[in-house]
Amino acid sequence: MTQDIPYIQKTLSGDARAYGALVDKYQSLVFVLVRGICKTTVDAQEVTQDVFLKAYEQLHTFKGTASFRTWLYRIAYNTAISHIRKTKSRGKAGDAYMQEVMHTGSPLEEERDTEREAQYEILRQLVDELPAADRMLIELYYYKEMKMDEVAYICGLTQSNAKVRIFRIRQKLQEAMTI
Amino acid sequence: MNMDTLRDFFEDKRRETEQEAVLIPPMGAQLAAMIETRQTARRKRMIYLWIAGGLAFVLAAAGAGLYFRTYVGSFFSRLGESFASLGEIFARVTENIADSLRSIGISLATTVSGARETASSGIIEKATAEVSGWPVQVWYVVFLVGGVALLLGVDRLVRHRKPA
Repeated sequence: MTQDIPYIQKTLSGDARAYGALVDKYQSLVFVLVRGICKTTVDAQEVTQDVFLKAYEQLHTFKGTASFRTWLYRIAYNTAISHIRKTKSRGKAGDAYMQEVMHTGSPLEEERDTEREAQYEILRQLVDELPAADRMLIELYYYKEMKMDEVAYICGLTQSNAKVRIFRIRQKLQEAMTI
Repeated sequence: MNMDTLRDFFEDKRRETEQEAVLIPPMGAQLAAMIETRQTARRKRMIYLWIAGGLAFVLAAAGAGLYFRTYVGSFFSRLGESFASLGEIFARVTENIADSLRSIGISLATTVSGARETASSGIIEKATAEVSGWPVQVWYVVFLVGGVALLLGVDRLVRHRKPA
């Protein structure tokens, strides 16, 4: 976080290149977050770009109460949700994503046993059927090093509300899997 | 399915997405260039807006000056005349109303006091002649007492009214 401050200050004083450095640093993180609900790589790339443009426009509002990463995630969350609402092509995109993933055939997938693969397929479908906000919430919850207060801040929820919602989503997924 | 499966699923999904993210070329330089272009365009737009605004202001000020100089002087003199004639009309109307009210008052007074107009004298003379007689004075007292009683009644009602 402290490493980002000089870049933020330089950006605020009009240095766009300093912002470029911040973009390079956080691009992957934002992409991974956004990709969870955007489904196609191209869409996710566009949204990632939008996120950074919005973040640039709003950088003067960054107070430093949360880390720059969390602040950026919050913008990413809102941008991705509004993108999903605008496009309303989740179903088709979801299918495209699934096919894409299946055809990509990463080494990790090859190692999986068939039972687990079947479970993953069902889970993928279930997660795709979740509302965009819930999908984002659960993805954030399972994100590495993401604390509950950060998840709540990003989604604009109270910590207890976020906990309850995550619990319900997990329960829903678990119930759907056992049927 | 247990919670570990769910966790594994999301972790695997994240790993897959991270692999995808690695393949995406860095967009920092591209975005920086885009931002610079936008900033330049915005600055240009602002400059054009300021110039256009300034020109519009100068033109409006010049037009207003010309207009006032040409038309407003004569307009004010015409406006003054109009007000003067309006005043005259108003004075005439109020004078007529005052006359009418005066004659109604006198008619009422003469009717109440029993005075009658004769062919030889006007109604005003007759009324003023009858005012000095006792019936009018009695009526004055009656009206005065009635008025005071009404005022006292209203005062009592106002003081003793119940709050809403």
